[in-house]
Amino acid sequence: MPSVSSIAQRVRDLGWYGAFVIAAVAVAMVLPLVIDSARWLTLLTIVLIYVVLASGLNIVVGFTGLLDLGYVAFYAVGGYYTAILFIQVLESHFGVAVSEVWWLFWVNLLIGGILASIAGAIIGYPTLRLRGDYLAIMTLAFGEIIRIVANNWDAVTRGPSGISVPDPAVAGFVFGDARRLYWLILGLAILSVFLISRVIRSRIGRAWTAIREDEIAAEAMGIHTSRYKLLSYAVGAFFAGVMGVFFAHYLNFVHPSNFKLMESILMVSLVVLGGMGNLIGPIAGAVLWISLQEYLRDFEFIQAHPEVRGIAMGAVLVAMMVLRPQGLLGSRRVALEMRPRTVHQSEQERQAVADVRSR
Amino acid sequence: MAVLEVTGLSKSFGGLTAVNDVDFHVDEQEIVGLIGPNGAGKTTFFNVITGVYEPSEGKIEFLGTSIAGRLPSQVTKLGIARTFQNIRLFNDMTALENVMVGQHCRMKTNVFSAILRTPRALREEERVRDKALALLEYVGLKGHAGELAMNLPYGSQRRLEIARAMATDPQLLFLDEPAAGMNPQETEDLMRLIRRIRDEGMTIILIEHDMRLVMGISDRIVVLDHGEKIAEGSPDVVRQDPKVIEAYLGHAVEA
Amino acid sequence: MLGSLYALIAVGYTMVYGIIELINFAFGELFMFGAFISIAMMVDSMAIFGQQVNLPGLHFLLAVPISMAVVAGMGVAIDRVAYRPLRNAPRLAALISAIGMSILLQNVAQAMFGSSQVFFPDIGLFTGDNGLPKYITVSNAQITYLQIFVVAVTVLAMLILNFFVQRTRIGRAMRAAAQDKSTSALMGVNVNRVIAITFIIGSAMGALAGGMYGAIYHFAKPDMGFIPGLKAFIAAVLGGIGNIPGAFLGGITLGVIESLGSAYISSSYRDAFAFVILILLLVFKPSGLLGSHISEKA
Repeated sequence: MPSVSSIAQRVRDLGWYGAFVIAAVAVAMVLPLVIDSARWLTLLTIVLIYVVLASGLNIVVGFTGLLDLGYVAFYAVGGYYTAILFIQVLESHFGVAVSEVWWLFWVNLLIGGILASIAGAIIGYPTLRLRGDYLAIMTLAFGEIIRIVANNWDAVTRGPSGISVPDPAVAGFVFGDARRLYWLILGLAILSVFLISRVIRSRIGRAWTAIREDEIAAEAMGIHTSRYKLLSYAVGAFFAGVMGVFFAHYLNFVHPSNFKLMESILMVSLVVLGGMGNLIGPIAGAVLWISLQEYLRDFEFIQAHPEVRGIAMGAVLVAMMVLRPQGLLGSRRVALEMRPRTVHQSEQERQAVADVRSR
Repeated sequence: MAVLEVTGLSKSFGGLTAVNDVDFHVDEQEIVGLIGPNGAGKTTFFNVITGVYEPSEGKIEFLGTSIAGRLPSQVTKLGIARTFQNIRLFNDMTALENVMVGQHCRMKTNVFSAILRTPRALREEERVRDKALALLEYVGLKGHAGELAMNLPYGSQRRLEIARAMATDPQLLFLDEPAAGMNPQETEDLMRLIRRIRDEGMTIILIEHDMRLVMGISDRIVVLDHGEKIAEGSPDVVRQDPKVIEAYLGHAVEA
Repeated sequence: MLGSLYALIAVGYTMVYGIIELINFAFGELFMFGAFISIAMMVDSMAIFGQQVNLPGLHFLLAVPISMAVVAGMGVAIDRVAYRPLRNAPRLAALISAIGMSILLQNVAQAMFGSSQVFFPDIGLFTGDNGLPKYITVSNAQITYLQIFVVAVTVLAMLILNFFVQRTRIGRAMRAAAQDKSTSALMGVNVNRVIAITFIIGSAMGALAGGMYGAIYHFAKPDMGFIPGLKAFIAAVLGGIGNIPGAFLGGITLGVIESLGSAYISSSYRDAFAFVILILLLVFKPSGLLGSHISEKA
């Protein structure tokens, strides 16, 4: 049992950054007691979902340097898995009432994440040999294929009708209202970010960053790059899967239109906006953008002109890349990663990378 | 006892033969210099042995195990480390982090132990950190641990690469033009460092164009030209070998 | 016929990609604008940004070239704003910028023309007075004038382009820049200008395809460009990125495969088909059917 003084020492060690985090978490926890309106709580809930999604994607895009444009696929895997299991399998097929298997929700959070992880490894595998743009397109293709399948495989996914999903519950205590759902997602978000930070700050995070910085050197230093890239996809996908499960139960519905390409691009935008390759960037990006987006959703002008959001997002992406590629909160470190590469790659070196990648 | 035994090694890229039927060996704690005019195939040779390329033909045995065709990460794990001709540091990471990456293949922490911060994982991390700091001091970069690799002066970057390579706990060290771009004083320091590394048990192969360095430090020299071995022997012997002279001069005249 | 459309777009795509090595995500949007501007030139009035605007009611054959010119200008502008500043940055940045551009354009079009379909007028040349397409009969098959037109134009465009790239000085400069930018710059090639010209040609091709697409399907819609843009990319990869005749072949092939696939399997999965082809392609033969001079790895 750690002594009081050692705990105090730990707290002191955390410094400003740690204090800020603790304060923010405390505020977040207390918020629903102060705020009553469902609208605001809903907004915050959605923000938190995207916080986790952006953080998970950051592993792949920000830390490992792989542009994944199909991240929404993992989100869909989680969501559809739980929906199909609850409704299609248990209710329709076995006649099991939802309230009897409430505990399944919690289990599904984990299983959904694992399934998404596996999907991540599967989707990631063919991309191992590919260069930046091809990799992006391939991940995009996978994401779209999953959406199209979801939309057309009526027998399993009920296609465009979607599947309605029950609220999460704990033995009768149903997480039905905005406040309870908010606390639930807050817990999940804090846990997720915590897990991600632990993984990043280890030899694994170092390996990922090394791969991003110089794949050949990383391989030469004993990092099995193929394996770590797959790991990156898998770990990143895990969080999307978990969020997918939550989202399905939160919205009480899954539908292919929730998993469009635009969502993937949105998620990438959040990471880019906030700052890639550090932990707090994507969180900031998500909080900023999604808050704005959801807040403006009810405005008449926005409702009449939905394209404004798209224009803003497109403009932000272009502007960010041209003016401030490290994102709003990116440390100088990532900014420098975006600067011109002055070393002129010789043909031999290019061949070397190709050879390494093909094995 | 030969640490590295290469027999009949060839490597072709499409129509171009970069390395042609080369035999090569290194004994324990030897320093072997690999020289030859530009384009002779020296770096390609390195790349084939360290696994970056697959050999077209030939055998490569390291400490009795065949390593031909293995992935570079596997080769490193078996005990061969290298530096690069065009410095390939992890620019956005600190000097310390760069060296710590070198220890990657000697660590066991996985995703789960990282998340849980098991005592073993923490101990391992600390051990690695200490070792990295020690290596930085060893190559003369003490105090620069927290600096980003890209911000270091050129000479320091070269030494950082050596520290990083050594962090993989190798038994054989490949240095690819470690003195490129260095001034005489830096080259002098480098010579001392390399000698010290060897004296403490390492076997070293080095590619270099700086003749003073190579001749001064190597026990034995191998000369490549157009992918073929044209001479081998002690520095004095090689220096006077007419074929070697012609290779260098011949190239100069052609150009 | 669908294939030749793909081919046209693919050619434009591959040209640009060959030199700047960047997937121009916004290309589909140029295609889309091509269709819209053609409509704009052809009708008497149209709602733009919500306001009715009076427009010249030009003939199809006049409207399309004008549209091509306008879109060509757009293409160059896009390059200047979103791609040129990132020419030397790592690919990630340029890629994201391209995506941003694509989204931006799509939504601007939506703001301008509304999100629903806009009707593409009938063209006297192809449509009879009864509203049905004019056609000729060749051994039991009906081939419409329009189909002939599309194929003819595409083939013609390709031939002209090929000649241009192979025989003229500028074409040579383009090929040189595609192989090695820095060296060609040293040889006196004004790389930025070459890229601008490439964009002009590529975008014009896209616009041409857009105009024809509108004529065939009788509509234009702001989000119509995205899928064809992707398919153009697939076709370009199929034929070998950077390889112009390859892109042409790739486009035709893709069109054929898709038609066959959706006839035999299921038309709603048609798009998925194209994606599957892409994935298989990238895994097994990234250099395409006719080979590409660009290293697709690293």
